[in-house]
Amino acid sequence: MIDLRPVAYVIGLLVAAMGVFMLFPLALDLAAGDPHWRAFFRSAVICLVAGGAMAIASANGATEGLTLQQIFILTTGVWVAMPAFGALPLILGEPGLSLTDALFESVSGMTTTGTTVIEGIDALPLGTNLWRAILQWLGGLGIVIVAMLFLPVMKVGGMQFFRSEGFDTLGKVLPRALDISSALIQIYVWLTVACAITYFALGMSGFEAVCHALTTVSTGGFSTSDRSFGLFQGPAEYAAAIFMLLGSLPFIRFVQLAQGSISPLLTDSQVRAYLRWNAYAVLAIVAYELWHGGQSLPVLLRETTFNVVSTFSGTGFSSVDLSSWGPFPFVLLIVVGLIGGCTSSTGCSVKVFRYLILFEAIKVQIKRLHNPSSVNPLRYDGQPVSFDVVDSVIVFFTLFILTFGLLAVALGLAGLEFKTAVTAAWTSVANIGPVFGPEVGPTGAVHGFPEGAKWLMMAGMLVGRLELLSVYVLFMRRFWRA
Amino acid sequence: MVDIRPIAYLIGRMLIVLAILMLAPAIIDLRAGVPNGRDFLESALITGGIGGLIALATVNTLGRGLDIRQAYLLTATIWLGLPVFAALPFVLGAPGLSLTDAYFEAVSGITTTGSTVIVGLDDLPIGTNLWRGMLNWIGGLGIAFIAMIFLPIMRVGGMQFFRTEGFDTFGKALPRATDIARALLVVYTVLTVACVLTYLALGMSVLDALVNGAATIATGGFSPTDLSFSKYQGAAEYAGAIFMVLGSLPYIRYVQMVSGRDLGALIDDLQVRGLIVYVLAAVAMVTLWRVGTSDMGVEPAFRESLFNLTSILTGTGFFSGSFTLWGSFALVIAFVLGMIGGCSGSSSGGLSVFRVQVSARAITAQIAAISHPDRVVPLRYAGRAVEVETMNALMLYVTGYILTIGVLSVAMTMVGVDITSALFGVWTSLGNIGYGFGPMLAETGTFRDFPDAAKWIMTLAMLMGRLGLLAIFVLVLPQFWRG
Repeated sequence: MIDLRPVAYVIGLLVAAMGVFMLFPLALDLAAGDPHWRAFFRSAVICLVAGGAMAIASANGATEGLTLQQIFILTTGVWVAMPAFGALPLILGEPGLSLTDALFESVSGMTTTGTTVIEGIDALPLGTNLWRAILQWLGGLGIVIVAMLFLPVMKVGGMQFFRSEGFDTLGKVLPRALDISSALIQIYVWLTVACAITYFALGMSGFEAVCHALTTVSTGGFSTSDRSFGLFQGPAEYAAAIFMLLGSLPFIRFVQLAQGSISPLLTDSQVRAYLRWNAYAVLAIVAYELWHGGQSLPVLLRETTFNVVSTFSGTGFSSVDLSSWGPFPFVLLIVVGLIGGCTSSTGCSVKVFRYLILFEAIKVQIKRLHNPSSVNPLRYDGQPVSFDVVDSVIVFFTLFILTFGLLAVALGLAGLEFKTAVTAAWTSVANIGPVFGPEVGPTGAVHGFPEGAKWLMMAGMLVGRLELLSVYVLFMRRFWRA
Repeated sequence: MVDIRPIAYLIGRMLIVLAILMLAPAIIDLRAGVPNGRDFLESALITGGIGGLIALATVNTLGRGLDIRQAYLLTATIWLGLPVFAALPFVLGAPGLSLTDAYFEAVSGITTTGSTVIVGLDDLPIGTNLWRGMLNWIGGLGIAFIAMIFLPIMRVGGMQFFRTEGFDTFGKALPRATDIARALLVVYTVLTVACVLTYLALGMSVLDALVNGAATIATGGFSPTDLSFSKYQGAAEYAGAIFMVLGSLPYIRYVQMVSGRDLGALIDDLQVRGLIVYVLAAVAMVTLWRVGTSDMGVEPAFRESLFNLTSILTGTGFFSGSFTLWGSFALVIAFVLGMIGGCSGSSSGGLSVFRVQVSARAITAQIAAISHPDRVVPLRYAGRAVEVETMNALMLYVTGYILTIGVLSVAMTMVGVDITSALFGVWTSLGNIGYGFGPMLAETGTFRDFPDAAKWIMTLAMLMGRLGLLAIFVLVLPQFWRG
């Protein structure tokens, strides 16, 4: 049997920590004289008690390190437990959601998806909106740490390629996991602060600036308004685009940058490809819209940049009605969403790294076709890539598409329209945010979806956020044996 | 440099055969006194003349067979070049299509896709409809032949797994390619005759039975009527479903059965079992869903699901009843089935059951390897180990297929097609299916209303799907043409 106590210990501590984070919205509501603070107080108490009890009960089993199996259970366990507790304030306080809706909102937050079930966001108590933003911020931070520390060891989807990187290159300076985490947290906090100050300088209120900064850097996408960035058209959109891009670049490069070496960031082929592809997508859409006689160039360029980056990075803010742009921009955005950000960032979806490996592998394959005797080793960033990594990447990609397809089937079965089912599956598995279709409310909220569809989307978001395989492995009987 | 003379010679000879085949509709239309007969005669003369010239100019250049690059080139040239001539009757005679439409129709026929741009099929001269059926039939035969003989050598998309099978196991009984081809031709013809006779017995007219029979076994899907199988609801749908399945099974198994060496070959084949399981599972789901969500009776719901889903999985493309209007769930299931396609080694398109099965095993193996990295389980299919190289080629094919759908869909929307029509248009073309969904088809049920640029994209997709994607990509590589 696998010893679950170390896992329970860590989860207990994290739940208790979440209770501490609830003190922020509590303080905000209290300061605003809104009796709504009681909801946060009750939630925080529940979190602290439940989390604390769990941690204390399993403290005797806590060990120095974790086995591979325990890491798998922990990763999924955290992303199931945290949203469950994170949903408490949404049930106990405003807007008094049902269990399903509250969980959906909370999962959508922690997975940095950004799909909401709430219509009338502007009217919510300040605390609730801050809490939604904090959920995303925590989720984004969590995934960066998981991607950096756990995924390479888990060998999920070719991430073993970065194994040496996370530990060796960096390891010389920062030998232990704890050090890496604290370096990451610092970077993450600084990015958020910089983003909030920029937003504030560009005219958002202090509250809006903080909430949007929390959800921008985490590529989450929750907003404090039904109109999302429609409220802040102008320079704020460019600022948001820059910070969304930063949030979806490999954080390890920032850590290296903080240590004084900028070249890793500039020479990273993933970063270069990601920025290049963003530019291509923007140019293609701008050209298409100009050709079809759209708005003036400055507006067009701004809206396109903002929306492309928002989708590419998996954030999901919107500023204008995308579906009115015509079929080509829409499909391009869907495609871009299926690529996603860079590895070990808060970005989502398949990730640029995997596409680069795939293209490389296809190239090698084609060369071998007509010249079977040739041996073309596969290289990435100048390093040889082992068969093992290539296989994992191909399997990951196939599995991603498969999950996307099956989820769309299931959502269709749950009663959604074809287009709604496909975009809902897309937004869930790739953790993006917007859903398109007749069942979606005028503000983009999905409260009108059938209950079953909401649960399916939650499953999709979790699985997509945790890179599929790390969740699927739990369903194998072999995993639990020995 | 690649020596293209032997290829030209073979193409020339094939054009002559094509010209001879054109005489059949010519004679029928001439006897019926339809002026269309003369247009067929004219097309036959042009095709035969050009083919004869090419063959004469390159005669005696066919040495001792083709090398691998020539095999690639030949395959691609056949599928690109023959439709040019096969399209002549559509331009010169009824229905007087534009060049784009005619080439689309001919490629759709020869690749056994079955998407049509012609509205008013029932009013066409008999010869034209017969010619469409013949195109499907020739194309189906050709691809079954190539899938059996060429693709394993070309190592396209994991087909090298069948390499030994095609030549060794089988080779003991029938040692040479021409023998395999002859056996294949016999099986293919017998299946077609059986299908035509069944259709006749179920009440189709002679022309309908002939064209539908040819298009069924070829998994083509050209029908001599705008209504497709809605015209023959009932028993004919069941018969059609059975023969479509028969046409999408690996032909090598039939040959083994007929040669008496292995009577169980067909039923023991993993692909065959997989295909049948997929069909039954999908039909069960859609029938239950349809009965549960509408007031349709069980039998019609079952019959229409069976017929339409079989038609999509096997890449035939016949339709019947109101299936296209059933809504999201049926649509999504149809999409998935169309991606899968029939068995490797048949005339079906799509990814093929074989690739889907191996991918599924690879995925399971990967998940198992993640949980216990120290225990490595080798990948096996049909009792044989799948080499890493084969597995890689196969998985990359699957990936390339999905990426191609994405890229071409984007291209379609760029030229002004709406999203649903674009996605399904690429899906149906790349998978050589022939079944259409979407607003652009709503009015006529055909591909007539797509912009010309979109028709060219779909034509390209049909060819890519038919030739196994990589075979086309490879020709674009500069290294291919150099030493």
